[in-house]
Amino acid sequence: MKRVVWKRCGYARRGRSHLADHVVCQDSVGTSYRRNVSVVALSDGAGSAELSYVGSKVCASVLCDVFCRSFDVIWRMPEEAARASIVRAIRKALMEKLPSGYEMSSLASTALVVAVKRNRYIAAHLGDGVIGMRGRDSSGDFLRALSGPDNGEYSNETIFITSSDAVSRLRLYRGLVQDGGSRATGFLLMSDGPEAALYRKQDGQLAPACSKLLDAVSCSTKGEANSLLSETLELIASTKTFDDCSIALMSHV
Amino acid sequence: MNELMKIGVEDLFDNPTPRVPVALCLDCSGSMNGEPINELNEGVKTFYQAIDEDEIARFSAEICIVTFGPAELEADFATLDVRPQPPILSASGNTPMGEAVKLSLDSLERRKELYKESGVDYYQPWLVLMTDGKPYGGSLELLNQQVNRVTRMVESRKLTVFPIGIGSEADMGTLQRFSPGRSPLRLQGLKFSEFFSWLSKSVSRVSQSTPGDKVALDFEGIRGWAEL
Repeated sequence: MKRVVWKRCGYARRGRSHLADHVVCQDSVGTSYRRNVSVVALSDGAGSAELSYVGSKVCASVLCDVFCRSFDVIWRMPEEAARASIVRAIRKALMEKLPSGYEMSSLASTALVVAVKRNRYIAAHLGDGVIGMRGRDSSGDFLRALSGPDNGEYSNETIFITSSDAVSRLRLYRGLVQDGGSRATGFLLMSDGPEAALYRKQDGQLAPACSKLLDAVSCSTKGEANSLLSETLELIASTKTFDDCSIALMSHV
Repeated sequence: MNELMKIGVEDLFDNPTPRVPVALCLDCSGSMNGEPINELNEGVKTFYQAIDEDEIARFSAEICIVTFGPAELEADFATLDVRPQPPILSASGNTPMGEAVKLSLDSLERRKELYKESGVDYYQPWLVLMTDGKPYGGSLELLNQQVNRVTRMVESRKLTVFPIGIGSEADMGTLQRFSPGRSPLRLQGLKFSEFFSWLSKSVSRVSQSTPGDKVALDFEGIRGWAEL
């Protein structure tokens, strides 16, 4: 019997602006477990890109696939080659889905992923949104942002997988789950919608709700965790942001 | 599931709304006396009311008012919950446009620093420059410096500028120098309220934009207040 050590959960919902304008949700999440690799991925389609809902779906799905298939390769590669390889894989899949008459920029979307294989993890992040990490070390439990949002100077600017400088702007993190006295016990990805309620830019802190969500994933049934996640996103979407909201979580059991 | 796991608003952060800084740099020289200054006051009031009625813009638009004749900071950047009413403007003096633009941009730079220190996100700032005449009574050298400063900011996407002429005596040539890439517009008669109503809608659209959004100007709406 397969022993699951990292439980995964993800959910995306439409924001108030898109509900009012009858526009589909442009956020997508993906989770996967194959070849001893647990992956969670998330992608947020660019507001004005016509097919960004397709772009974000492809992006989240390809990230899951690439990291399940090529975790060891990405782990061993020099950093720049690994970044280029991830971007190339996503762009190739986007190109295959691109309808004729459209430009690649119509599929513009961000990319966030965390993959764990035994005692190693790899995270990659392009654009806004946040990757959070929970763990335990000699001073107790910690919850911190592993990777913060990469916006431009202005609130409505960020970088997308279709941007010319995507390779250089993609941030790659490779680390050990158990690293000396420190142990990672959970990862959390969020788009810029929930970022408004779960991440404080001023000091880079993550809100207490992040810990509760990670607890729910590790301690509850899949149905209960999904239900808490969808209720939380409903709360955030109705009180804190007009944007689409998505979160993907992975928690050690 | 354990009730303690339920998530409420107390488990979330209350982050500040991203700001849209809008600097109104308004000619209030002696030539604006009478009906023009009254209509300008009505227009600015319309702007405040329209922003106040917008669910998002009310908390994101930060308005600063600089007048010239002489150059004065009438109201520094603030949202409407801090300053719900605009100051009442009066007309007198010359037209030191360079000094007024400098005051507006200096105030804007200070505000941007404050946003950065406080971790407040913001959108590309806007400068609205309105005049019914030509620069007079100020330093020509300073005017030229400010033209270069605005041009650099617009070209590096640090500023959106709307130069508006009022009446037939407005020096559209000088306004053009402040507006690289886009021609200045002349107000139809004294349609300040129509202009400020259009401006509030544009601010509202920006305040709702998310990464990747291209916020296009409502060119159709411009026909309602500008001579085209």
